[in-house]
Amino acid sequence: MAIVVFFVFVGLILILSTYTSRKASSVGGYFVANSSIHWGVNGIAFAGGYLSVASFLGICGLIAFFGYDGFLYSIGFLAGWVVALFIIAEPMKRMGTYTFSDALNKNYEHPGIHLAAGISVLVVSFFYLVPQMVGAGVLVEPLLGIPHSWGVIIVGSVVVFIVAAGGMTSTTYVQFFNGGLLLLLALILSLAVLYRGIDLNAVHGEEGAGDLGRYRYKQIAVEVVNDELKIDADRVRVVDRYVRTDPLTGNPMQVFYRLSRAIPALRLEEEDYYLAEIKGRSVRFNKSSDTGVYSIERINNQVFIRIEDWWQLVQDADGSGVLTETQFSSVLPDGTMLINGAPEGLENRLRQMGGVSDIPDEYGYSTGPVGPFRILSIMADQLTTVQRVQNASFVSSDNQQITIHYQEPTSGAVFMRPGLMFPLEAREGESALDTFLYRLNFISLMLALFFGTAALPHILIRYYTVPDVDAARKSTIVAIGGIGLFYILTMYLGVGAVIAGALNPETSNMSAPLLARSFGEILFAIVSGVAFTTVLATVSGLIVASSGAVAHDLLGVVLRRKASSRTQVRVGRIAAVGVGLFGIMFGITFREMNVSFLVGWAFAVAASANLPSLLMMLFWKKTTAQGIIASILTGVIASVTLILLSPDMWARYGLDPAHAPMPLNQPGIISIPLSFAVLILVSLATQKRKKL
Amino acid sequence: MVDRSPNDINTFERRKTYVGVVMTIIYSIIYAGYVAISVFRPALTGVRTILGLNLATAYGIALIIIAVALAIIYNYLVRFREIGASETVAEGECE
Repeated sequence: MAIVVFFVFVGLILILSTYTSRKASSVGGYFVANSSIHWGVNGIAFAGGYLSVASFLGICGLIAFFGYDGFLYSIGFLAGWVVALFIIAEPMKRMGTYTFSDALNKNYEHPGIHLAAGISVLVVSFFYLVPQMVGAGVLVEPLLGIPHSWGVIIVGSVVVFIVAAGGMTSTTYVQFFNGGLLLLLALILSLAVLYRGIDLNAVHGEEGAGDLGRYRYKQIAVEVVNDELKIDADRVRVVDRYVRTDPLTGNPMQVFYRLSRAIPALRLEEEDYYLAEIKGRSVRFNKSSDTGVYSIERINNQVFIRIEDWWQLVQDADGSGVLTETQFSSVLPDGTMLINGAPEGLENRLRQMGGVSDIPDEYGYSTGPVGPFRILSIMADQLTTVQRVQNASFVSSDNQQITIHYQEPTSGAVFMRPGLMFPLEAREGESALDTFLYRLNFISLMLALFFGTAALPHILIRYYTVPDVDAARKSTIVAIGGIGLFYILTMYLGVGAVIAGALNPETSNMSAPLLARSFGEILFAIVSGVAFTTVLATVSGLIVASSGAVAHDLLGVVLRRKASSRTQVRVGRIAAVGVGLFGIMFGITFREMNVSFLVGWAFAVAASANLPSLLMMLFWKKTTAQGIIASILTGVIASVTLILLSPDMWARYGLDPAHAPMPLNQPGIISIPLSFAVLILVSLATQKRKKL
Repeated sequence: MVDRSPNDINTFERRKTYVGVVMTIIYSIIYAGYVAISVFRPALTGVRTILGLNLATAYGIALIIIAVALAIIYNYLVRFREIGASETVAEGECE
């Protein structure tokens, strides 16, 4: 079913692109759809292009995993539109023709502005493109049962076709189609979440099979004496231990034990095969391959499979404690992948996690259908307990690469306010400097989101697809209305996913599609199809912007004259293919990172590189061409350098994030003011030259 | 549609820009207030406000609704001034 719906959506997009591609032979047709798009269509297309997988998959995932902090992205992503509407929209339309560098260069006629702006567009588009590609791979993997990399390759190929064939006209209608569908679907899903309410005993279908039923993680009472466990259970022994410490304070946060335990098995009629239950899934074990990973034992005429799995210890002050089962994946030194202690396979994979385990007594076990405010109020209640999904990665004593996924009970009052992703309140033992840096990171992100939207190249070019200034303004207002509604709905999608226990512990990006799956396969298929078209819509916008930058801005500088219309379109098409290939390559590399987080960097680069020059060009008469060029290049170089030196990138290089040269993950708070300062200083220094 | 002189257009554009800047400043202050509470008084974000929502949720949703409301008001003001400017020019032409 999912595959059929997926191909129907992709087919519709391709038909739409082919149908609209006829208008794309001229420069105006290819890059700005002949400026003939109706403002209403343009407004929804704005929403379709802007509401990327970062909004749909990324934010829902962040809310489901980190609670309210995910919603901060929704607020920041929308707030930026205020700057776009009130300050940027109309001047951009009035002063530009094809790209935003036209507007920047209107009063200066300096080729360096085209060069700097062209480079900036390519860099920002790259940072925005990668997370979209990551999202595409994440979607296609469970939907079509093919590897992540193939998902990225399919998206890249389809988008390159859309853009190379139809340019901005095709892109506009693809974005319009997607924007409308996305809003409708978010509304339907949100209403379904409200109708379902919160039911502590509900069982929903999940990945792999629809009839798995609810799994309750087992617990074993233990006694802890000097870190040694005394376990009162048969056929169980401790083989390893891992203590996770707070990287800031060095205090122990979680303690995990690896237990070797024998679980009852059933011999199948098929010779040498046994069946045992692993986390509620029936998994087949082959006797002939039991060496090392698991073993088959016969005790008192009963068959057992002995496996090793990881449990979390929750200890009381008196030394008594409880071991709670976790889920985990392990990679053995020879590369063998195990899930929950048994070989990975279609029948043995990680189960969904998360959920709400307690609500205030007045509701009993189920709230029944609830209103939009009531559900948020219940979720924020002190007496509500949310089971948050947490991960811990480490290397075990026998050199296995272990990733444990466990649930952490969290009060609703904590879950529904800022702090779980951005720890803004000083924690016990945390230094004043660390608290300051966390807060600075947060302010930096909110600053980048606020100033970044109006400077995103695929947003800026959409001002040129409408006939006049009035239409540019109206289409921005339609966009704000649609996008605002969508961002409010993201709260219900994120909260709905955690209520349904629909969280894939390996990736937060799948929360929205898995929420849809909890309502049935049809909705899952439609959501996945729409999410896929979301990627296509955003990526095609980015590729049009990039190919415009190459063909219109950079080509003119290289040739030292304006290229012919035909050449520009041809170079634009070649550039679209090139940018698409880059996107595919990096989309595969950055697989595990949350797409919203990555997009946060794109906003920071855009806000640092483009916005200072746009604002100063409009509001400061002393701005010079040299000032604009210096500001753009400073913004690009500073923001990208700070990102490359950030703790998150340090971890990606395999180094200790605590030793990263740049203590902040979000560069905006440094690079945005720096870009402004450079523009002012260089403009002041070049005033005389300007007069001469 | 009435043709306007370059001076009228400039005055009109300046007024439009003024309205836009004022609205941006208003929204920036509200947005900065939200960021400031989250950073410097995080405990306040958990306080219950209207409709049982905590301050963080109520303020966040309000920020989105205010953005939409300001956009609609801006369009009304700009169109109002646009019509006003057109009428002024038309009257001038009649004289």
